[in-house]
Amino acid sequence: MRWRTVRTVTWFELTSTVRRLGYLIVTLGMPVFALLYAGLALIPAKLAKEQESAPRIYGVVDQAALLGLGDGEVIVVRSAGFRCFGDEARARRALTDERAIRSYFVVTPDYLASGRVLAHTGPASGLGPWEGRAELSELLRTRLLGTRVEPKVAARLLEPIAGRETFRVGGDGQVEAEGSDAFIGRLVLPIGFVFLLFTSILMSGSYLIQATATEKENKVVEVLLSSATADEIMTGKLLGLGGAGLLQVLIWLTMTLGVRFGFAQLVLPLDVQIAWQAVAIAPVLFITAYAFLGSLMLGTGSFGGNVRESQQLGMFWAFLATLPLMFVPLLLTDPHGLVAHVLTWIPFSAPATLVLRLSLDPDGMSVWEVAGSIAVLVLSTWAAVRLASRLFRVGLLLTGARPSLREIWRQAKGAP
Amino acid sequence: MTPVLVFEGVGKRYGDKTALSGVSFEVQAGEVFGLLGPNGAGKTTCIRILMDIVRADSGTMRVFGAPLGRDHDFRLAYLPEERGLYTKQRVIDVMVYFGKLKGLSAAEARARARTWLERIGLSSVENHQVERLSKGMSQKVQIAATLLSEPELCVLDEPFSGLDPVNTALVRDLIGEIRASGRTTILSTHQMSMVETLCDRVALLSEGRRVVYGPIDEVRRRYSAAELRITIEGELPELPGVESVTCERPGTHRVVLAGDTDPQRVLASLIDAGVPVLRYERVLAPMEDIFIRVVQHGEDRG
Repeated sequence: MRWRTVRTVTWFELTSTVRRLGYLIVTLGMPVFALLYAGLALIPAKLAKEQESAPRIYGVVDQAALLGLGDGEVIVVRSAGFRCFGDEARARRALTDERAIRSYFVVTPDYLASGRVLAHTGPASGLGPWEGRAELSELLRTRLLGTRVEPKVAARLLEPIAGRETFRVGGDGQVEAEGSDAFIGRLVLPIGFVFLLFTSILMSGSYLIQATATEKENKVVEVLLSSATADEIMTGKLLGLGGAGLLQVLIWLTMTLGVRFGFAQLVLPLDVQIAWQAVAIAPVLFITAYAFLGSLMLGTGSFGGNVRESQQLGMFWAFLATLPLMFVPLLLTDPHGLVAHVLTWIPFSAPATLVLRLSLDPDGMSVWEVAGSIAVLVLSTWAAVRLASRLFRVGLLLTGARPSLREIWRQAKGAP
Repeated sequence: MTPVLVFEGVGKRYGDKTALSGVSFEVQAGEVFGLLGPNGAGKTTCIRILMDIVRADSGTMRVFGAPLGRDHDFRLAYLPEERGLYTKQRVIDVMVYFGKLKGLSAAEARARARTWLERIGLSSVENHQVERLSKGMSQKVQIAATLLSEPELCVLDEPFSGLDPVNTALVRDLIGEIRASGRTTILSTHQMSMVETLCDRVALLSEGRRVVYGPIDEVRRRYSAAELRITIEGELPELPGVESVTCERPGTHRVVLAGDTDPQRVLASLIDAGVPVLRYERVLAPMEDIFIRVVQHGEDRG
């Protein structure tokens, strides 16, 4: 392969894509659209928060005489206030005529024996009759315990695990403190990796297929093939259009992080602890996985008669790449189980599985398993590029009726 | 001198269809070689094999005295019959890209592209998008892009299609310049008048086989009747060994010779008779006639 030719194709594909109006609109417009959407979504959330700052008032008719509240007295539990009514008629008036309460509860006289509480809704009952149930339960528990056990015991009964501290015991037996969100933090890298990989593959794959179909339609193919090999053209396209796709994703990420919106707000407050092994291996896996899937998409996509047909043919591989996502719950519960081991050796699932396993438990994977899996992936990528470049050549020159699979294979074998 | 290109018994099949069957020919350095034939005769397959776009099933091919290799890419250039350019790109960018693919540096490709655009009268569209060009303009841009790298062997498949007479003359002159510079052209065209004007030698393919091959004059002679066109002053005297005489216009006669009459004997008779001879020529069969006779009627004269 002549790298100078590859570089020429790469540069042409990259520059001609990033200069396209459609690319610029999508790249720069998507974050603006996301910001506008998020802004609109934040308005109701903000209004709801303002409403929450004033406690919601419910009525309570304590027929069991458990709460120890006088008529008209109000007690606040977290975001809910409970106003005591001596009889149900007054509570009903407060609910319907005065609209002073959202709903009212009747704690029945046989409550201790039956646990019966009757909820009554009115015109302003919000989310339904049992809105405020959690707060009422807490109030009842507090009152039930308050007179019977010590305050400390009562507090523990109400919140048995009040103080949480997390430690991690490493493979060498060393104990290290870590935040309670560390587990979620360890998922940040694999989630980010899978997000970047799939977004890049989908974006770049779409550009790859579009560019190839356009070249077929514009009849530029023969000129290209008379100046460069199918390998060189395909590699150049993979790099150039992959670069355009990756650049787009990076711009989105940068803008997202820049405004500390969405992803950043979700991630930054967490105690993010990322395994260095996963960090080190992620770029290699990313590039290899992209080359593997991209070449297959390009090879099969080149058989399409037009852009839509090419996309249908090529996108099949993108769906295969989502394979590990189906097994995420299983991988999380047992990162070194049988399924995890199998997925590690399948080229389609290996990149995401490796990053996930190394992020969750870097010490649980042997060096040989990591190296072997990467070797299989690299070899598969090499084979995929070779096969795809031959298919690509046959597909590019294809006109009229599509030949049989046997004929495609025969031509691919005989291709220069 | 080593031929620039040698095809020896080259065969190619696409599925059940035989595209080429044992085709052999040579192209000499510095000549314009006509690769002729009806649609589907195998010309494009020959060219695609030469350009390493498809591989032959049998036979051998040598380019510049050696088997085809990637090094040859920069010495060959190809203008395909089914032409196209990147419609959304600027003219100059497309030309620079094609030039770079042929091994030129970006600066050199840009400089040459500008020279060529000036040469073909399209400097003003340098920064236009290709889709804004007319069909003829696109055609000229593509020809210029093909010749940008000054290839040693240039393959032009139907370079005149879609061109008006002015631009046809321009392309004809360009091919003449390539020959004058000692470089080689393989010309595939259905315009037989251009073949007669430009080609030194030809190979005519039909149904994947080479049916006519050789220097163009020799081929035309081979397929010509023994005919002379004579322009004289005054009346044409009775001539020996002549079968018939047709007066084309006053003073110009078409003379069909009988049997194996030597044309020189006819000329000598005219001079002996004291007739002033203004023009004396052998009438050669036009390539178009030969093409039809060979392809349609299967006439074979070796």
